Amino acid sequence: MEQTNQDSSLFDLKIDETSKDLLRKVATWAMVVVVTSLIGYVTQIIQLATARNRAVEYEGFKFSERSQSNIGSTIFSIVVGLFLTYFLYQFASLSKKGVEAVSQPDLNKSFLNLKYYFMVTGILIIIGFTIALLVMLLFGASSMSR
Amino acid sequence: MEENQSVFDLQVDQAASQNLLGTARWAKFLSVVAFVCMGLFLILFLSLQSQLSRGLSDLIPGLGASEGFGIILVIIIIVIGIVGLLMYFLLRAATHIRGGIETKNQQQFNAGLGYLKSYFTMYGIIAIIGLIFKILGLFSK
Repeated sequence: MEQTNQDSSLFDLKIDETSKDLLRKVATWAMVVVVTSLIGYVTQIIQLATARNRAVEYEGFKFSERSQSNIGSTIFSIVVGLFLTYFLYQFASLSKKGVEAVSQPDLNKSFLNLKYYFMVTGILIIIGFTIALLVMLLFGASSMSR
Repeated sequence: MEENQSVFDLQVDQAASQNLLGTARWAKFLSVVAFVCMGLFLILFLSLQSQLSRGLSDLIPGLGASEGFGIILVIIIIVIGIVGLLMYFLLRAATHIRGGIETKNQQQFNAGLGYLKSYFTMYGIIAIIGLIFKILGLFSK
């Protein structure tokens, strides 16, 4: 990292006062997103727990309001969300630390985490699209064969 | 302001440039995919107009077919408008950050960071509103 710092010339881009101010604001709002996401996941877990406990009794039989697949998809979405939130948290905390302490390695790590955040989101979208496309193709094929 | 900077100040060095260019590439991909998805969704929604209108009037007896469709269309347009603005900020951020790094243009780079700030500000506000509704939903049950 030090090597790359030495390589940069006087004509390179700088993190000037405007950039620092903007980065601080980006980090603050990214942290807001992180905190709201975490509270959201807790809310989802509470919803899941209360729905599981709320079993409906009908003619002596107990029925759970939530199906197993629903629980699975909620847990999966929370795990994926936590994974993404971690990268955003790393970006927010490291960029703030980098700007405040004038630390080039921290700032570089924060940009790397921002890249990972968008990259993982992009990969998830590609996977989601592929699954949706496959489901549509299977649905179309099954409806045509009838 | 820039003249006051010393050699020990922060810079967009080789590693930072690589990471920011990667960020810009993925951010651009995300925003373009979002725009395409919104367009496809709107086309699909308009093409299924008659089926949706019929379904809505069956679901809510007092509601006319065109009225129900109109209400949903307005909601969808508002959502598309909000998400579209969010993705516009992301696309502008990606384009300006990339352009700023490639041409070593400080103003363009800062403009990119400005758009990134707008993106995260809007995202944060939407997240707060979403959370409020989620919590209200939790207590209403």
